[in-house]
Amino acid sequence: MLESAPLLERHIEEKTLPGVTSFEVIATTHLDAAYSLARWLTRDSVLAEDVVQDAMVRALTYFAGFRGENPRAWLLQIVRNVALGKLGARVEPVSLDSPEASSGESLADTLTDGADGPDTALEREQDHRQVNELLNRLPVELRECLVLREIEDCSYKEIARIIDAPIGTVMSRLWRARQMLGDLVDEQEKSA
Amino acid sequence: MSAELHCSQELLLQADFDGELDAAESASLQAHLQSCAICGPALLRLQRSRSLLARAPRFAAPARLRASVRELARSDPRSDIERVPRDHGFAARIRYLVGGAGFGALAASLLTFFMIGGPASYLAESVVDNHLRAMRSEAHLVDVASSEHHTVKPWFSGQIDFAPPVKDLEAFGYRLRGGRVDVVAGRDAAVLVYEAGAHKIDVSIQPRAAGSAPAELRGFNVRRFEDGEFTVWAVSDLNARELDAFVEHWRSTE
Repeated sequence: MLESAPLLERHIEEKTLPGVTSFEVIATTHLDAAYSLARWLTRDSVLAEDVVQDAMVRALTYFAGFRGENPRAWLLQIVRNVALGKLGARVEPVSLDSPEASSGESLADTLTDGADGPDTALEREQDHRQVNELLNRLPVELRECLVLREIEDCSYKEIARIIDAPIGTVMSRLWRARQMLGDLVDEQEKSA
Repeated sequence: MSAELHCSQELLLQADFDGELDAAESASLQAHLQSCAICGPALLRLQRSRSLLARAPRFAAPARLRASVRELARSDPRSDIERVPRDHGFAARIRYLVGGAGFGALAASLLTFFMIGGPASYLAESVVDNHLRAMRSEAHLVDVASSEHHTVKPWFSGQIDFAPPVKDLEAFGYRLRGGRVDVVAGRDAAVLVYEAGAHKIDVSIQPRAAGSAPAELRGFNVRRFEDGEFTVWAVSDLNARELDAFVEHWRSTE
């Protein structure tokens, strides 16, 4: 048994080669997507971290039964369920006239490439804040569809799997989300 | 709220906007769009929402979260269980039992390792995994569907950097279904799928590499042999004798 240690190490290393997708590869490859979804659903960076942690633990318990198809959708589905669980599975009230809830939110966990000048950085920061606020005013069941489609670039089929709903529901929620977002922008422009 | 006007085609309009329609559906939607007073402005609205979202912040997992997830994956024995049904062979069952009993990744993979004997069988595992994955999903079975080896062979040249032998074995009762590209141990493998009655045979081909293989793995029969400059794996639920016959026909056919 003494000589088994280096052999074993090699065996474990080989398991993480492409095509043999280990849990570690799946988890780290799709970690940003998992965090991003959790972040959009919870609207809170600390809570989003908790959600991803818990989701990864849960994903590990499901991993033995995972068939290897579309690991990203598989993981996002778990993240989504954990996030909604933490939100108390309640349907949030639509806050059409009170954006305060999110306006003080920190966007420090935003991806930046750091190559911009100060003006562009400032503009982008304002952009981010504005879009973030608008999006956060959508009810969670509409927001999740829109975020999955436009930010995570998921197909209808993937969204349907992640939110566990028929494709028809995905389509009508996406439609409502986009209409509502348009209304919010119109409203904002009118009052400006 | 605006958008009081509705068109029965609005969800189709959106599906087209999201790239979810096939060419024919998309064409008929485009024709409708020319004549619909509601869908034109609705499309503009969809486009505006998309350009707005293009300016949404993109969030990245904090480094500390990344570190702790990696730690979790490395330390938890369950991350080492392979994605095969439990009833799929003795080795998988033992591995599951040992893993479940809390012995951890070390014991579990050590056992697997010794039971099926080293890195060569890791390749076999990989080939069998690919076979299983393909069997489960009809869509993934073949990337190019054709029973014509003159069609399948050139298809590979656009996909991988070697030209695998594609053999016509119809005369022996093996019908070519098509081909696909798998990754085996980090390298591209050309896979030919043949049918023998209700059974499928995956023939996985890579440029020659040293090694050996178990004859049976997780309930599948596995044959590994050299053919010219290639290493060839045949995996199937055919019984051992029938798979040997297939290999024999393969080797004797140009």
